[in-house]
Amino acid sequence: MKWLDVILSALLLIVTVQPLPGDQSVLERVIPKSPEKTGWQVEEAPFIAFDEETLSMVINGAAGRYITLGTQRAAFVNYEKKRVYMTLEIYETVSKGDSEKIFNEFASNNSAPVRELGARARSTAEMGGSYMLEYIQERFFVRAGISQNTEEAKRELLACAKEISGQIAKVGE
Amino acid sequence: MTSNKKNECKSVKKDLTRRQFIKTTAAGAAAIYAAPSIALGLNSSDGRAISRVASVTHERLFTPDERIDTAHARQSVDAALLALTGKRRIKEAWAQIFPEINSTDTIGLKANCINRKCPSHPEVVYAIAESAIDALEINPNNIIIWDRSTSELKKADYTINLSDKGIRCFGTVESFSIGRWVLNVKQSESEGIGYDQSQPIDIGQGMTSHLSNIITRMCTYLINVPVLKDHRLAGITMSLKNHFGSIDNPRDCHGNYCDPFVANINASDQIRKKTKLIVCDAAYGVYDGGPRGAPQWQPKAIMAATDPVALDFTGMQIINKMRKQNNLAPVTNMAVHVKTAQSLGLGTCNPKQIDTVRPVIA
Repeated sequence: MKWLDVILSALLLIVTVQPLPGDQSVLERVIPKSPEKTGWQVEEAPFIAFDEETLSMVINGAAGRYITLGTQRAAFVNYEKKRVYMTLEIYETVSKGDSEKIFNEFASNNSAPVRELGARARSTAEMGGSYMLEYIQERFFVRAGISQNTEEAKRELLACAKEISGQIAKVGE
Repeated sequence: MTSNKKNECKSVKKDLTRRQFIKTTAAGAAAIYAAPSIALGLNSSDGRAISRVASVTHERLFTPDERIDTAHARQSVDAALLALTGKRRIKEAWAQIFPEINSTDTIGLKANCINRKCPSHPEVVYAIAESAIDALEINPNNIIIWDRSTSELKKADYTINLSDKGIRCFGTVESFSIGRWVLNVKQSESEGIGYDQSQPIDIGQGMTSHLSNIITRMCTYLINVPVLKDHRLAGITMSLKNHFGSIDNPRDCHGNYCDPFVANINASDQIRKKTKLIVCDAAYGVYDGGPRGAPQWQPKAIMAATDPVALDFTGMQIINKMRKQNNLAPVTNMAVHVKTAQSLGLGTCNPKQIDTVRPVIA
């Protein structure tokens, strides 16, 4: 089984290194580094979807809609810390207008605006006890969720979202 | 037992012992299929078979902090089974559903944890398990709560138990890895119980799937425990589609509204013959954008049936009602698999053949 893991890791590396449609490196640079420094463990290597098929592996039937709205690539990372789960979805679109379209498409009546995050941001305390932040910045739509809605969980999620925002500002257009 | 069968059992045991947590049963041969209506002895006045769907609403199913109340979950499950069978005592209800169970049999409860935010909740699944243990007087270790991956069960707050004491709980694979999916590496090659390569099933359009070893080699009977959710590709995802979590290649089965794949998987002998009960966790529901996302309303219900088609049809009406209230189109036209399942004889989606009972616990 160890050999299989080695082979799989090598193959995954090849897939990651090989030039896939579009430039994935932008998304790779946007993925935050701080969660791991504060005790969060990455559940699986970040996954970058680059077309409808790969996107549908993660978000199932919603993939087509995101592609229609201008998604070019999307990064997905899941973290775990003491049975609390944090999930990040970063959608890279063609233009600012596209990211805004996604933001508007998936709006919820239960959301509240959030200041000082991206160009526009909102938070949603979800039924069932989870909490979500969504924002747009440049060509990016970011959704960050956590499986608790305690103040500490919200703070951790906001810190992570802000780090992504900072990285987006660095990679620019 | 023939020598071939003996050898097969030996090789299975060896394979599973290597993974250190398997307790096998002679599952395959024991299950006896009875049509849902026969199992419950229901008939309409003109003699046609009737499938009953019981949907119990419990007004206090949730605690003030929106967790599911364990005691009230158990109360709801028992009430649903009493309403389903028409019996007065829960022991009699379970005996009617499992008339031939014996001490060596194993019951697998197939949960649905793909959406951590709206899974088959542990409070509900353990309520079913404990009710069965009490009523049927079976060893708790002969109950397996399972789903496609251990990691998804953990995320949905299940406590993994691979030991030989208490209710067991684990996935077919450790983790259903997207990386493996991209590389088209078989999920069974990741750590865990894996899929049964010895029994490929024809799922249509020239494709085959392999069922979880938990179904084929470890369980005598199955209880399907789905969730009430819509599905952007299949219209709904309830008991029939829950078995996409029982096969090794769900990714390949999402074309054409997931039809005829969903129905064909459910028509496989292993699933059709072993499934004795469906208990849908409708504490929460998702009516738009499923199967992902947080729950969108609280039906506060537990649904039970022995006919998966009737249960899914009934659930679809509930989802459609919520969609109508929110100015959304019904999902009926997308849920082709429900009709296909009916055409394969897995149950009925004819409302005239479904008897719905809806007790309410105040």
